[in-house]
Amino acid sequence: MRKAPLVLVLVAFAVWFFAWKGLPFLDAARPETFSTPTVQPQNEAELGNAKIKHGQEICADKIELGPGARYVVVTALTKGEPAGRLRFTARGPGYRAETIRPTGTANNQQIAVPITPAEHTIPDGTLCITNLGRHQVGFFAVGAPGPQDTPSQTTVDGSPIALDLSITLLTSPSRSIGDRLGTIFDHMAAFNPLSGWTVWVLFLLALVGVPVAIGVALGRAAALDDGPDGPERPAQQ
Amino acid sequence: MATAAPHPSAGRDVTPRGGPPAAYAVALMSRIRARLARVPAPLALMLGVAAVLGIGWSLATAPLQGPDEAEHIGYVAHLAETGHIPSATGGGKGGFGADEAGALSQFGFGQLRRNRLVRPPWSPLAEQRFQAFEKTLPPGAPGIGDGPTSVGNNPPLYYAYEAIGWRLTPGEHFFGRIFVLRMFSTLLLLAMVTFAWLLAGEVFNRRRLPQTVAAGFVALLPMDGFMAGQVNTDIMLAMVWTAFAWLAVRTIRLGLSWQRAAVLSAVAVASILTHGRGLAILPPLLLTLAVAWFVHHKTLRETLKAAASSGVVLVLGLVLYRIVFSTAAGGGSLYGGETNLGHTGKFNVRQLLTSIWNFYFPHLDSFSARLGPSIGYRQIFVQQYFAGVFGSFEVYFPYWVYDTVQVLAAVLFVAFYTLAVVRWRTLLARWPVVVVLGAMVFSMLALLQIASYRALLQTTGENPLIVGRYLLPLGGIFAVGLAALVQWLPRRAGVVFASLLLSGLLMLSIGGLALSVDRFYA
Repeated sequence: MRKAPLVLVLVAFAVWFFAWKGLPFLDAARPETFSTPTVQPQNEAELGNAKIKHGQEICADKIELGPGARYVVVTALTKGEPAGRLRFTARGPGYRAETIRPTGTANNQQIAVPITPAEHTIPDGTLCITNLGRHQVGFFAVGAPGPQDTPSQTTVDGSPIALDLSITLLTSPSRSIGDRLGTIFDHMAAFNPLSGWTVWVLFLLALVGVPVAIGVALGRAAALDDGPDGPERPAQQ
Repeated sequence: MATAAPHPSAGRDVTPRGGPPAAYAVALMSRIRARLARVPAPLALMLGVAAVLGIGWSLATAPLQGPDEAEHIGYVAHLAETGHIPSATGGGKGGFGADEAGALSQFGFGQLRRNRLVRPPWSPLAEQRFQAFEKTLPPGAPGIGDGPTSVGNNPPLYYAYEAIGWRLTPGEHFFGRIFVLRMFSTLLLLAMVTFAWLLAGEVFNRRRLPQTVAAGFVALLPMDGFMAGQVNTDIMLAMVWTAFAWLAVRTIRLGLSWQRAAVLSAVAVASILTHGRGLAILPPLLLTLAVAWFVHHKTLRETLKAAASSGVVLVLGLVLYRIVFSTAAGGGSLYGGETNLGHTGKFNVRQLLTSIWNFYFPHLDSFSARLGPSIGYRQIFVQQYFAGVFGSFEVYFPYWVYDTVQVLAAVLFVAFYTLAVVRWRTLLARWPVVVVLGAMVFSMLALLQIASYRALLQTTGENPLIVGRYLLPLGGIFAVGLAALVQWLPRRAGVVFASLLLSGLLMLSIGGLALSVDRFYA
């Protein structure tokens, strides 16, 4: 079998696969995470409930804030009635942002509250939620100290509690992976002695170079077996 | 390239005697170039594929997030820094160095483990903070993790190999070291691909297409690439077993000599010094030596020399084992649950056999239920090996992928069986190869089943001690089985099948990589 048609078939196969699965994957919108400074519980056994009454404020410190931190995600826990108004405050040296979440947050509802992002990176910011409603409201949290404990300390009205408020910071609540490949590759290169562009090179090699290499290898192997120097010769290995 | 003319400078006498160092370097480089030029193009391409995928997996999986990777890195760090093995039960300072412990507890990498809702830190500020944290650590802090650690019972060969990477890492930064350790694992995958190529060359009389399929299967199987991108003993065990399979088949073809017996035994010792599961190589070793002797009918003198050389190597391995044993920090013994087969009176052969039946086949009413969680061929072979499960088991394909792979695996098995029956004369003529490779598969699967059964007895059904990556050492033999299909099919059909097989594996690899990137970095 000649090499060129086999390569073309395999490249066509790769293109088809990319169109079938790759493009929808790249096009699917999902939350764009800025950071997970504390841990979201994965199952009921890990779930803690950090409660605050009317007028109380729950805060988590040592949170990195910056231009990409545009949404605060928490999950509310209420008893029966929806939660009242909630005030979300993000602050740090030279920075303060405040957003009021209106009444109506349901029990077990995850909310993404927009905040005005800081203009520059703030290493040790603080995120607070104040309960402006009449009823007690709780939030997803995980036990601290424990394996999921983080350097962030959660306090209620300034007093430390044995739970970590579960917070995720988003840059966008919904953005396609394809739109942010460069950012994702920068994330992959972080904590590695590489840069984002080397991940780009690897991405292209995996997506284009590898199918071509497989096609050429198979075509070459078939040609070698068919050729005059076929396998019956006393060849090297 | 197989047909390439020898390089003019490929001869042995090109190295100038008494010349300046530069001349030596030039001569050495041209010898290396000449050797590289002789690498067959399909193998070189498959090595490139394996390298790209191995590096890709190492980047797609966040640091410390491979299966037990944090513990393996702790072992490497302690061995590299102190020359001692951490203890499984003793020690006192834990299983991690100070830098790793900090990364796990203070920088989010511990919280990330198995929790799909958490992302690793990736901001420049986080990197700067970790570097500042590293600077606060006293000298020797990376090596303080003397145990207890869950991998403390593992023998040290893989860790000693990785310790070289640990020591050679420029800058000696913790995450830089992880990157280098993972690259060292990827090198083992490249070696495994090469040995799969050589094994197929022995079995199929150096036909390039089956060789390419065998090497391609190893290079493209998602679990091979994934484990080659992590710090874990399994990839070395897989490489050693593939090398053993090649040497065993070669020994059978060429006949028993004391040199071949010694080399084969040395590889078996390497297997034993890599992991407890490596002990399963001993029955195939003995069988290979016996079959090679039987096939070639060597003289008594030659036979005794071969047996003696094998025995000497095995005894040396035992001595090495004892030396390693004596350096274990907290005493105890090497090897963990895989070989911890004693000390329980509940062992029941009938229950073991029914357990194995229930693992592979539908449950029969007359059989007692399998101990422990409901796992079997589908979970271990299909999900966790042929298709793959990544991260620390929290990254997996949609179930339709596993369903498809299960159906295709069944079709391939039936096709293999049918063609084997049709070509039974060919197989009969190659019975020594079939016996030895079959013995390797049987020995490993038997050890896994027995160890799993004993672990279930000892943990009252909680820990089955069997996962898909434990099948990695059999990858070279599975690859030969698939290459046999290519060889047995009509010419054109064989090429098409080879293309579809490798394309399918590539799709799985790319899909697994995409899922891992999505889980950790999106």
